[in-house]
Amino acid sequence: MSSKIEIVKELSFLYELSLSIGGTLSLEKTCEDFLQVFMRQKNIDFGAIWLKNENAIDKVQFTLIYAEPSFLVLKQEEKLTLNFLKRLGTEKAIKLSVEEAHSFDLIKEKNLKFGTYWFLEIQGIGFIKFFFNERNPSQTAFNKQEIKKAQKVLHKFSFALQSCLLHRQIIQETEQKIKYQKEIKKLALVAEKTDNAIVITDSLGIIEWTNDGFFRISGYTLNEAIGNWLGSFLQGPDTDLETVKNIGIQLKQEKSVRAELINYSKSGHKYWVELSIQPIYNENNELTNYIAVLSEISDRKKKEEELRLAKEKAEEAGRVKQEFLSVVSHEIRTPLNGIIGMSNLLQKTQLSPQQSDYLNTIQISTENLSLIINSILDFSKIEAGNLKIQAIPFDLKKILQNLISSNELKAEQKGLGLFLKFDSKIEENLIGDGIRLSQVLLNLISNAIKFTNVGKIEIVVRLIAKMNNALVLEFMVKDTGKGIAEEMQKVIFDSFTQEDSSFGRKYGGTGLGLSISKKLVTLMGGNLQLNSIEKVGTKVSFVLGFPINQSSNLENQSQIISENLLIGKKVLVVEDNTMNQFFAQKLLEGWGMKVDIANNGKEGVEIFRKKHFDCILMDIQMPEMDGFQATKIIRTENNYIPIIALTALVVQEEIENFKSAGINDYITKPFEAELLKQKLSNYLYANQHYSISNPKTIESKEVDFYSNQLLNQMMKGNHVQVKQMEKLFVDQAEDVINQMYVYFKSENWKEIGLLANKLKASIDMMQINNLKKTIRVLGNIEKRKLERREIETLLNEVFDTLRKVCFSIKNSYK
Amino acid sequence: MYYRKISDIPFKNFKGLTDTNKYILIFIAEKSAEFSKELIAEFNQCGTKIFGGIYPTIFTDQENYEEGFLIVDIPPLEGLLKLCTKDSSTFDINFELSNIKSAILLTDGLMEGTDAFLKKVYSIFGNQMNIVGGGAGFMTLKQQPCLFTNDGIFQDGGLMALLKNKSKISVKHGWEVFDGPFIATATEKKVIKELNWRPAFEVYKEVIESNSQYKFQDGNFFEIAKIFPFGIYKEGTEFIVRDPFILNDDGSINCISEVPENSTLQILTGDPDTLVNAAKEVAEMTINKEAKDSSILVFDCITRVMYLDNRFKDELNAMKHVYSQNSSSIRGVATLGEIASSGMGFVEFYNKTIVACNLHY
Repeated sequence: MSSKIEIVKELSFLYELSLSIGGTLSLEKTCEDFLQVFMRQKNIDFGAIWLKNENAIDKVQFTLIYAEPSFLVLKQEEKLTLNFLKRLGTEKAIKLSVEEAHSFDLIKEKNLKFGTYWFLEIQGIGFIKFFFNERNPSQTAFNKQEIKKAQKVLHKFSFALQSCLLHRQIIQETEQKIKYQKEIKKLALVAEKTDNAIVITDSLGIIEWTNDGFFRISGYTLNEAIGNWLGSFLQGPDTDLETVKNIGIQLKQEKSVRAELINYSKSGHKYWVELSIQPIYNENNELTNYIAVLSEISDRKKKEEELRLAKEKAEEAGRVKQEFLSVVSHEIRTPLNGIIGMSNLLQKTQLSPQQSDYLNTIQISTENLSLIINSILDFSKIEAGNLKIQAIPFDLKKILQNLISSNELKAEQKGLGLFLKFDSKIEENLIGDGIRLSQVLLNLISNAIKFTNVGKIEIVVRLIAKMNNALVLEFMVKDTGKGIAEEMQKVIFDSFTQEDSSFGRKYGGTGLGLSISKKLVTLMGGNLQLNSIEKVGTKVSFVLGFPINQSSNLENQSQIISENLLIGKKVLVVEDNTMNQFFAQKLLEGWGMKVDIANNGKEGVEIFRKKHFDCILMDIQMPEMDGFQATKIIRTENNYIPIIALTALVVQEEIENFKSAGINDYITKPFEAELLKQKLSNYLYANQHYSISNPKTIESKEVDFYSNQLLNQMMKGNHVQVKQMEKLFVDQAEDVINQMYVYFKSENWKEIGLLANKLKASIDMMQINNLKKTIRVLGNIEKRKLERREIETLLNEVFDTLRKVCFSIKNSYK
Repeated sequence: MYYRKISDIPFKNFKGLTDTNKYILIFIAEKSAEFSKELIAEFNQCGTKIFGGIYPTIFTDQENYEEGFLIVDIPPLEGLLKLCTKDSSTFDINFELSNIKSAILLTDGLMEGTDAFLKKVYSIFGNQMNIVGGGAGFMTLKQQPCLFTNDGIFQDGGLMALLKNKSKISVKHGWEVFDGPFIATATEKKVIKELNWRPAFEVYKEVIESNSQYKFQDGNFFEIAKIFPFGIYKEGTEFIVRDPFILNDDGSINCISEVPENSTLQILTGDPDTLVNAAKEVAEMTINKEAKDSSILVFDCITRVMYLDNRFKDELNAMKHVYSQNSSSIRGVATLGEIASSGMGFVEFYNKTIVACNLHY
């Protein structure tokens, strides 16, 4: 029999426990209040309340709501077996040792090692978990009888928890609802106040609602808009009917539409809109409405138009710039070519040391000017994206040797060593842009020489890899120069940059060299790397890949064969500039070629029609008829004759035009003699090889400045006699030249006049048309009272022409 | 070792104690509190690490002192933590606790939220170590700085000295049911407003006056209340004592610690003999017969000391008698609330209780 005090204790426990329930609607607080009383009263070491996870499918998952002390908790989720749950339902409370709890995988706490677990059912919704430490003196007092006493309170606790859960659910739903309502309100406000026009129509497109924005844009109020068909309501004469039709088609297929359209306001004002129409479906997936959002884009349209015009203008400006550049470069190159050519010729004459020195300076200056122009042109071409890298055969070793030999002197003058390290494993005949490669290396070598005062410059070419028919090579130019400061290394590749802006004055150059080199290497597929240490030296390197030229041997062979091919070949030079004419003529004649000159395209075509030529050198920019037109005409009559363009224009576009006009190749002015020789050899050799059945054969023997046509007529086609006549003329002419020269020195004008009259008939006979007049002027030298300077010019003309004629005649006998 | 005056303390003797883990524990009696700063400065000069508190009285084997200094030699510490209720970052403990077997916890006995503070301590340090200690402070019951380290004196918080030494702890008070049960139908933290739906004092007075010779008059509430504390029922252990010490005008009663609402209370009373006997039992439960020279720390409630008054000597003697078996000495303080855990359950804050701890070397 329990003592009164015991009963009071029990009652006070139940009283306190029941009062701990229902003090709050918070789930966690209800659990906390309940557990704290229970645990304090029963001296329980650990307690936790777990509730069923309603969202779980199998209903055996539980979530921890509250634990005391919470630091012991390891997991917040628990899964009980159906058997255990069934047992808990039947027994209401289960006592387990730690080992047993372990075996059921029921321990979700840490450090509860020795003691007893109790699981108490919270009817229908979860369970309470208690733990007593084995040393806890209260654990023996806790038994099923105690739990039975608390059963009614536990039952009440279950209802309290359910109320809390329900409360929580309602709170969550309400919060959600409030959130939605707020969002709806916000959306409605946005729809109403947005700058865009929003229109809601029914499924047929009849307007049901519009917002303020619609009024602002269209001028129609809601009442005015309602009932109208959106499909035609806002449209007018300038509205694109095709777009309207497309919108209709899309909407018929119940698709969303986006379009730009001209609309008209109530006052008739025209404006652009961007239109987006979205079909709206109800829960049964039936089309109920359309929502159209219209934004006014008149400003944007205006700006787009302005932008388009600006773009066109910019493109036009770019084109004009390109054209200007081409023309200017041509205009600079042409006289430059003349200067270079003439100074080359001048150097071959007898000069005093002082003259030679002056000439040398002229040559260096023109060379520099030429380099600068080339740099600027290259740069502009690269900038405009017009520079195309070629894939043609080239001899790498030869390029490198040429670079060494052309720079050796400069290096030697500065007391520097210039060395080439060429990997012997490298195939020499490759395919690529040898000219551009050479340009890059030349630039790097020139820089190295320029900025090195002591030591040496090494050009290293190393084989990195060989794959099938291609090589990967590393090119490096090393010097022992002043090096480049670290901060400058980043900008040294920028255009117009030199390490020190005063360098331009000290070392010369445009500052474009490295920039161009880097861009060229990039275009060739490499990357120009700079590695420089101040006061130690600079290494500039790049890696490029080249296919090996499989047919290189054959070409080498043909090169040798064609060495002497130029002798006696006839070439027509179509060029308007007299100095260039003269230079070209001298150069070509120097190679034993026979040269005809035409002053423009038209003349060129005429001369071409009259005579047989093996090759034509054609200037492009000429008065009356340019090189393109002339070539086109010539090509209608002859498909085989090689035509090489002489041009200052090296824009890629033009090169393509060359091909379409029928020009075989081109050479840029001022041209290098060797390159021209090489090109001529190539074409003439090729022509000889592949144009065996050249259809154009001319019987009569015609040379540049004379014609043997008259002689032929006179000798009735007797070639032997004609030759004899020609020989006589040569003898006579050479004799006259010598005599005239002597008389000129002694200013014996009378004798000169006599000699001129003597030669007059021969000149007529030989049809040396350009001397016909001159020789007659000289014949009247005394009557005309010419000055010495005038006589000299006339004589030079006569000597020159006669020498050419003699040369031609002699050559024709070879 | 007890020193009556600060000038008696041979500071130079502590100069050698510069070992990194070596601390000395100092209890200052309330009446010597004015010298606490000087004391700290002296020890700082010696480079000696210290921690401790100011308590109403301090005692040794047989003597209770209202002034003076008690310097207690304790085993080297694994760490000393300064926990402040007003700076939560002091609770961010990054400390390896697996080696810690015991802890001495000195708290500000008059701070707000002692229960919450202890709950926090428990949640950090768990139930795997013995925690023992007591609330420091002044008899005036006015909160002042009462805890100190080499850095100075502070309030609102606690000092926790962590040791790897094992220990034995015992808690007992000896108070027994005088009358009850009563339901604390309305409480607010430390204030009992109602007992059995009536003003608390009304019930309290009625019960005491009708069952004893004591009569409440103006100003004698504490004189009587110290004999009749409240007890909260806890299954399988002694009642948890709650000390009433202030009577409010509205008839509510302030206790030293919190009383849960709707909890069942008993009014307790103590016979000096049973109290002394409880102290003896505490000593018996903590003595380590095998080990010699163990360090005995006793935290005895000030209201208990005041209640026992002259017979407090008997309590000390009863304990000394037990501990003298292995020549251990008692070093103790009269506290404003006693703290003990015994490796299970919560860290409890007791009143009118004697807590003893035997730290094993």
